[in-house]
Amino acid sequence: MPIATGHEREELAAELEGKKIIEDVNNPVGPFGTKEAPAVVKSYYDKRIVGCPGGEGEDEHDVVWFWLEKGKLHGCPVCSQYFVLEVVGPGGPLDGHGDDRH
Amino acid sequence: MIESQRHSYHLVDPSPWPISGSLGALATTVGGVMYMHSFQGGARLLSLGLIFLLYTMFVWWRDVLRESTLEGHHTKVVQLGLRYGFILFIVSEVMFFFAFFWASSHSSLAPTVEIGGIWPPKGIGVLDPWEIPFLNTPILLSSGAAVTWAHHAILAGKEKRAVYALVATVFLALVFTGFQGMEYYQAPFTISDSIYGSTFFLATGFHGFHVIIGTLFLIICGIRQYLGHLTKEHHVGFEAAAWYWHFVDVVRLFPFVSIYWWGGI
Repeated sequence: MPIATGHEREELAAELEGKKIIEDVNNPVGPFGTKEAPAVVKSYYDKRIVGCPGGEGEDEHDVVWFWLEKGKLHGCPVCSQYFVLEVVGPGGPLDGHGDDRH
Repeated sequence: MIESQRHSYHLVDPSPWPISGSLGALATTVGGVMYMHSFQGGARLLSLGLIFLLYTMFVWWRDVLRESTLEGHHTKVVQLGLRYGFILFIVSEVMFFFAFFWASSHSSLAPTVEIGGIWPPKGIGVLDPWEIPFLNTPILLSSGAAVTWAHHAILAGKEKRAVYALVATVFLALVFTGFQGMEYYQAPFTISDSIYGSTFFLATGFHGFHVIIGTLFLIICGIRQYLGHLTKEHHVGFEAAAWYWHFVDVVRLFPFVSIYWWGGI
């Protein structure tokens, strides 16, 4: 572990343990989500904003943004890709009240 | 699970330094114009502006060092952003110097009748390029080699050696500036002696000024290296200083070849 503190140190520690949780949460990728096997999007709270870019190549469409909530399957109105939320953080509402961290 | 923050970006806290730096720059510009036109109080306003600017630079960069070294805000993605920013700054510096060499070439490639239709202009005694100018060029280039030595020492984790290499870099830089000062002192022409003096001192003067900035930057890196701030994984400040130093190195070649050598014989 090199000399480091704060968030930089946490990032380095996660890397040493082979975890990249922030990247997983920020840039969700994976196969096209179907009703049977929906695309899993990670979130620190019980809901987050997600954008659907459609499928690969010809099936791509303008990004459609929507709220993805815990326990609710969401289908994209354009390409009918399905999404579910996986809460990896503390959960709860994301209004930020009582949270003075950025 | 990363607990302190749910993203890797550095959202900076409110700071008084942008406005204090802006006011310092305003006072410096207005004071500078007043001083150069002999207005009463011009020197005072200019000095006040410069003190304000220097103070702002000190405390702002002090805050940045605290945020990175002591608070750990400079994550990988923040370091990447700093590198991009610094590269863009150097690109803008390249354009800044391009303008001076354009002015010099414009005036020397087709000399006007006012200066006798020749370059160097009629009546201008020029410096011998094979004396101080030729000596100073390899001195500055060696300093560039020494900063690469320092870089390799940091990457190898040899902290003491990195300090020695930075001391060597700064020493060569100071020798360069000393010789440049001597050359200016002994020059047979001034900035007001025709377009030759104007373009000569504009280009070499701004280059010398950038050498001084780079030297200060490297001195700060040397102190931070000595204090153990720079690790082999994280040394963005040093990288920026080294890029800047190589830029100053390369820029030296243009006045040497086109102004001292081609333009002086």
